[in-house]
Amino acid sequence: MAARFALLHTAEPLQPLFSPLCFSVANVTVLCYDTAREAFPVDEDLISKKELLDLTGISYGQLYRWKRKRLIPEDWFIRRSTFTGQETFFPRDKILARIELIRNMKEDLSLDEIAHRVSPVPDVTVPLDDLAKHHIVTQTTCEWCRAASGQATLVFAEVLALSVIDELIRGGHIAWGEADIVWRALREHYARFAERPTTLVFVRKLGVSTCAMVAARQEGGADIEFEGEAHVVARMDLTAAAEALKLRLTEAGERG
Amino acid sequence: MTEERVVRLNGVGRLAGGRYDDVHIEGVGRIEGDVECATLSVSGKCQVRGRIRAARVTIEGKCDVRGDIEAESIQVSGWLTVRGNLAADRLVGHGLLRVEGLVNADEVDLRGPGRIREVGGGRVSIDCHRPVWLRWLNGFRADTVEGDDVRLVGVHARWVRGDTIDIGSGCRVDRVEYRRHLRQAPDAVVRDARQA
Repeated sequence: MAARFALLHTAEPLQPLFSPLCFSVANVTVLCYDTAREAFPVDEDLISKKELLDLTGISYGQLYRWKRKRLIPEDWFIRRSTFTGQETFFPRDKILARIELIRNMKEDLSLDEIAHRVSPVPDVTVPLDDLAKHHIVTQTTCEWCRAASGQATLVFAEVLALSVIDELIRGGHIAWGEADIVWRALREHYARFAERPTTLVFVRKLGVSTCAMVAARQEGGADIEFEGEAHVVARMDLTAAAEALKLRLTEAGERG
Repeated sequence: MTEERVVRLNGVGRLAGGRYDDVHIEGVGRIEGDVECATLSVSGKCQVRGRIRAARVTIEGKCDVRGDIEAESIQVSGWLTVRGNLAADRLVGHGLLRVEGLVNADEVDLRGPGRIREVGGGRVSIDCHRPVWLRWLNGFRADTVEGDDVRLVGVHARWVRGDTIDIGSGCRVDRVEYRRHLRQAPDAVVRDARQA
């Protein structure tokens, strides 16, 4: 189990005992905690550095260069002690997929451009009007955002928040009054969650609604359950949403 | 912002972290936070209580960095201590270098003693040549050295891995793993060498 979640029923919302995440739904306090080590089970499919180089045929120099240019995230380098000393391991599927991706892109893109593509939070600012123009979000959502925040340009996390809101509204899961909750949560905390598989959970209980972002520290995903009276209105895979959004933004950018 | 932010510190002083164009420290200085600049040159003594991100870093005195250094080229002809990692396209050193984390550079060219936990890159050349009667002095120590083309002289290391490895005189290495070629000087000590 990657992360543990304890569900406590209390009259008063608990103060966060130990971070990282503590929020309350009316009279329910959900306390989530995970332990960094446990989140990375030993039996997970890892590949040693030597094996990786043999398998893919890349050199030490390339691997280090890619790491330096942030094409490979720092936390994929897992240091483990083996009987011969410290060795570096990687999550097998991810690193193989990433190296394949880099090799494909390397032909016609520079390393910095690739780093920009693979970065979990692309460094982009998008004018609000363009979002509606390229049908990334609906006109109504844009109007809402203009009224709520007054911003004319958005950064990636904000665009993601808007597209999530857009989808939840269209699916009939939330009302406009609740959109602000999602907007604030994503805007403030998305950067911290970007590199991990994250799910957004929207919960309503006795007419009070809230949302939470759930992620395990590293590999393995996380799960969350609430007591019976709290209704999980929507679960949304943020990682997939971010990937889809990146694609649409790139397409929109190419169209100009 | 169009004006150039060039800081020149002569004498004793402190500098807040932040974004600059050029930072020159020619005395005793302290940078109180993370700096981002085009050129950082230290020719006195400097303590940095944060990270450094720069295009060029030149150190001709003594510099002590609490965080990481990231630069395109780093040139050290004095004494550099880094508590974090060091990343550069090119690292040239003629002095004393101490890095507690990883040194990651395409081209590493070091002469002189030092202590680094991990070195990784393309071409790695570390030369700490000492005449026999001075060998008792501390030489160059590293935990791991990895690279495509590794040349070592007078280096004590636990692991050396690479494509082409040249273990020169005065080296002591626990394990060597090479893919193509290994050359070993007659007075180098290698406990275990294997072709991967």
